[in-house]
Amino acid sequence: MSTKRYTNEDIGDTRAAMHRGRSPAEVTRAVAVFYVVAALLNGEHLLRQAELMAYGPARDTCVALARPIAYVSRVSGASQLRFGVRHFVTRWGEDQ
Amino acid sequence: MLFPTASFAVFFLIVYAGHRLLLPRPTAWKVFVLLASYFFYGWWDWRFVGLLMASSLVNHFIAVRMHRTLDERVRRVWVTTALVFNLGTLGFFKYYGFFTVQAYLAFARVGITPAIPLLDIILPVGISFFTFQAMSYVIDVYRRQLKPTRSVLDFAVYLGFFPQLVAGPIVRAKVFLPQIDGIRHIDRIDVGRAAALILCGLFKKVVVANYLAEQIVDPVFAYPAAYSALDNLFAIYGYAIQIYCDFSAYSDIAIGIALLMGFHFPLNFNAPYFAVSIQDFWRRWHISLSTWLRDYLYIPLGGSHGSSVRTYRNLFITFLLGGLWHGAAWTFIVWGLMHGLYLMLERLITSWRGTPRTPQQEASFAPGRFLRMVWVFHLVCFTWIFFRSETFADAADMLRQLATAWEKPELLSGTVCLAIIVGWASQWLDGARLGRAWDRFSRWHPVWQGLTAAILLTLILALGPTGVAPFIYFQF
Repeated sequence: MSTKRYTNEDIGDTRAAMHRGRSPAEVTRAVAVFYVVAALLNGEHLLRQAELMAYGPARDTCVALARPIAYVSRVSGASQLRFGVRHFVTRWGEDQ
Repeated sequence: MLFPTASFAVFFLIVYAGHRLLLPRPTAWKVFVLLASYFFYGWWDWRFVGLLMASSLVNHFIAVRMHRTLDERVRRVWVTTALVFNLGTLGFFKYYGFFTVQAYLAFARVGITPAIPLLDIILPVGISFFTFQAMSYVIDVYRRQLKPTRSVLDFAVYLGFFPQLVAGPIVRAKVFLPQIDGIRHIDRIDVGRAAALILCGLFKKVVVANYLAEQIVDPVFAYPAAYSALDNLFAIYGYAIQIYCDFSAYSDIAIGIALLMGFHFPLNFNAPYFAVSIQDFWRRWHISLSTWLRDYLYIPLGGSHGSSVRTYRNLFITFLLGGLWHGAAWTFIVWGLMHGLYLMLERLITSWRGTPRTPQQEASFAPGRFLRMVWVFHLVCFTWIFFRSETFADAADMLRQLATAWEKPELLSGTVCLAIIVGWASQWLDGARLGRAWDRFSRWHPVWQGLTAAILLTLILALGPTGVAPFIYFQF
């Protein structure tokens, strides 16, 4: 066990990091875009997960919320990215 | 509530929106974050929210009382009370069953049946982490390195803050509390680093750790005698990578989420398998725990400032308790003691050799450095066998298979090897090694940042096995 005193700088967290990046408003915009796009890309998967939940009010709410997202995801073709990659990974795994 | 799940995504969306809206009103912000954190914690088991609240109230009360008095004896009584309360709580929930069974076994050998009740106690998730945070707060106040918070609300937010609540990093009060006061004045958020930490963490957990656990680690460690030497060997390598990818992933995601909310936490992992000595390994692995043990146990015991025998004794105690911190089982104790023994041997060798080498000397001979890195990695892998095995018999089976069962492997595949290599290489993401790339990402337009992060998240989720296993360190 070392007796060396660690500082934040030692472990990669510099004071300069506090002044780096974007304003909170811009970060909020990025987070909002992230959620919208992630929901679109994963909409169908979200619906499937919700349908796998145990029957009850929680499942009904999740399914009701996920259904319109899944619809937009399917109609726009956004869900194809995840399905395509999954299909490729499954095929590759089988070949292995 | 696990990080890589839809329920956490919805939870964080609500919390982030509330956090942004309430930032100008500090008290409302604290109440909101505290309630959100309790909701997050209560998702596992509502009963233990009371334990977290009790810990906040008792430790804050003691810290305030201790701060008000100048009498050193009274201060010592208060700090002892806090230690008894914290260690007593931890001991009851985490170690009661273990020590009771050991007592039964010991008495049974001499033909006595003790009247100690055997209780079926559920371990509250994250108890080791928040108890250590609470202890560091009280001890820092005792040492006059920290003033207690003005209100219990601030301390409760510190202790219960959801990103690091259940599996660390163990953030010190003196790092966190000043940031609560300054949170509404935050004008820049390092979104590049936050996104990198969260996405890299998800990749390590969802793709690498889960895959290795499913494909080789869990089946081989469950029944090592049924598999060949190569399967066992790669299960050990796989576990070394799995535990790194799993635990560092949790820390990275926690640090990234906190960063998005404006909090800066110190790093918890810094490429541990690049270490060239065991001492170096402990400077890179679970940094928040090893620095905690150093500051609140090893140094108060005397550190390395006494005779060699005293230093070895201090190392022994520190690593014994470090092992026990991970879980109530002899395998964890032996794992801790083995690390303590390695450190003692390293010290012994250094003292025989004379003056320790400088970092420049260490780095000057690259092949030697590489060989030492390989040696330390294998030494650490060897100790992981005891950490991961359910019993010593399983560990012995594994070692026996390694020595004798040289037949065709059953589970080892090219993809397993690839996952191990990718997991090992993911250490390059630790610390500030790729800082420039994250800085560049930080400068992108918010729309592109959100879009890119969403696409990367989708790719990660598609690449990983279906379903998400809990993080390994939740059990500690």
